[in-house]
Amino acid sequence: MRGGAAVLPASSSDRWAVAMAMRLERHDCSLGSHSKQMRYSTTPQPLRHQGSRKIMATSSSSPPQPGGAVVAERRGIPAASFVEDVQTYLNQLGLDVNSTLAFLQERLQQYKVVEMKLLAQQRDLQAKIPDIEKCLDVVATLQAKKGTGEALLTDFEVSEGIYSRARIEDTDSVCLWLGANVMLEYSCEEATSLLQKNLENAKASLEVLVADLQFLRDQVTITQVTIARVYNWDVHQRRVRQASASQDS
Amino acid sequence: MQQAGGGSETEVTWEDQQNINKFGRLNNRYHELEDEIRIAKEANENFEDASNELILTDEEVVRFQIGEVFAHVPKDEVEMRIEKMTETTSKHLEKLKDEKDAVVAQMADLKKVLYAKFKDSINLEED
Repeated sequence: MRGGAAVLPASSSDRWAVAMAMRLERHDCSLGSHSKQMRYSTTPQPLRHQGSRKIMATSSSSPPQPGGAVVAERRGIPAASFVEDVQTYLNQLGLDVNSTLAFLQERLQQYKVVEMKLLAQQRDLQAKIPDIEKCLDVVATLQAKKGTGEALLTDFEVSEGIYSRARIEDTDSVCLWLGANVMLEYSCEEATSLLQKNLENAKASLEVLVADLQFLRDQVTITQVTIARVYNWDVHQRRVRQASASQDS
Repeated sequence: MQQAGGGSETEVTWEDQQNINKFGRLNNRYHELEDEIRIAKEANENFEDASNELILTDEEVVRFQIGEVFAHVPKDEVEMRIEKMTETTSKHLEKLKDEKDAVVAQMADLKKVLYAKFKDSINLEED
């Protein structure tokens, strides 16, 4: 390794791009007979869910949303519509309480699947950011040693638990592992700027991902609240009916 | 966080829903912050251990891990590096703690608002 270049994984930016393309897969989910199929897609597209569009339309006629329009979806994740009034909501869906609850539960499951995927992506990114930082650290160390005339002595791992000693003389370049079995030699300056760029990309991706997760969790919360309300409404209706029945007799 | 039983229907408005969402977000962030704070504290403890060991050792050159490799670095430079790392982590830790305080305060406010409206038909406590 004398005079040679250190090998660092660069985690190329395309890999972020691939990871971040939000492969939510074709998650075809049937929404029951009242609506067409809806799916999470990679490209933003208007909601193919007529039921919810109807609901959106009515809920915007009563002015519940301060700050204007409600987002219909975010990067392929459909928004959960807020239910103003349970009775109207059920009429719109044209479903009874039980099928509505089943439909909402199904939707909740779908959200959970997407959440798992996003969380996995988040963990990935959170692991990669320190990795890149480490690489930057090494390049900085090499650069700092350059021109001092003394070699950098290092112990490096050859194989699990086996270390060997390397003497790195004045070096101008490092090799970055770009992935896909490709390694490229860069000058220290170029390597730093590439790694820096990758770091920024990773951080930006993480930020977007966190926002996606927040959006998703809001939809989960809305759906959970809706389920509770539909359920409570049903219980309430039954009691009213029971009360009036016992009065009649 | 769910509204439990009870046949009585309290009207849930979009504003309430948004408050509930916000509470959910804050609660999530709170747990993230707790984790991050724990990690930062551990890092600082490790730095402290390392610098204590440095004081005890007789060696002039120590192996300092940079990335995946152990570089042979003079003792005083390592001391400097550890000091710098401790400083960075401590600053980060302060920021995290401040954010946690802010989150806790906001959650307390939202709890007041939501409990006032929904009484015991909403549960905002951890299990």
